Amino acid sequence: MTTTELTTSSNVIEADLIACIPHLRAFARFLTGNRERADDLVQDAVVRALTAAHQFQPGTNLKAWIFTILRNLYYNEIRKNRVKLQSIDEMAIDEPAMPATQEASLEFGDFRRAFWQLGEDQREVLILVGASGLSYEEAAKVCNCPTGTIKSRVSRARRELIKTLQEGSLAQKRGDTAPASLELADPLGAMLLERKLAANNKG
Amino acid sequence: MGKGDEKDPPLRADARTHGGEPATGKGAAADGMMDRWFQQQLRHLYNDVVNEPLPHEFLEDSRKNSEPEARNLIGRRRRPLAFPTLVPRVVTR
Repeated sequence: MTTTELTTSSNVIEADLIACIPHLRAFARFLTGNRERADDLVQDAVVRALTAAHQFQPGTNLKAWIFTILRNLYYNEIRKNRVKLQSIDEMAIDEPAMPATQEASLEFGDFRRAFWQLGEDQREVLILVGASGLSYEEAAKVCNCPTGTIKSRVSRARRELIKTLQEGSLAQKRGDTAPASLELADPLGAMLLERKLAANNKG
Repeated sequence: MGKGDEKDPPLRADARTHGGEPATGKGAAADGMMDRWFQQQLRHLYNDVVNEPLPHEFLEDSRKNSEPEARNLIGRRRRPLAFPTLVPRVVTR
């Protein structure tokens, strides 16, 4: 490939890369749990992608391509430096403040805490498939594993997260006075109702 | 590409079929409600970060560092690239 061709492909990709950066930051944030480290990782990935723009195959998914670069950088860094993972409490500090109603905030706060209790691989697949809009096949390429593995990880992650939410709800229930029958009939409904009751009590 | 505006991925149905027996009747309706709630929370979590403003000079730094003379340096940390040739290819249908 000539220098001119390299420059052209780099320019074409740059515009698309810029559009991908917010998504890249989100993916990095949920991988690392740390704002600064995530931004460093995004910069490294962008630099790497711009440098290797000529290797990108037009017509393929740029977002999946750069997600793969970022993920490789992250795991290489982990392997090389044995970077200490943050505790869940530390991660929560980096999360943005929540607006919306008190009830919605309570629900979302629970969801967020439960999400951060998932394993790294489970958080990763939920973000790739559930939030960032990649297909199972694309996520499998990003994670360098079979599509079936991604599907089972998503399923397991979802079950784990809901279980954590329900356990949190049950733990709270033991200290409160919510009717026990609610839990058996509809665990999530019971949890949501309890949130509403808690919000009303506080209000 | 807009922020957080992609299509809903097929997370819900596949997740449930992998999770166990398919639900019917009221169970299916409850599952549907749960799926929507779950997806909504996950999107909320993701979009909170996607919609954050980019740090000042974020792009400029990336561009500068991708210049040929800076290719052996990364960001402000000035350390060599760990795997300069490791760039994956992702092919989609």
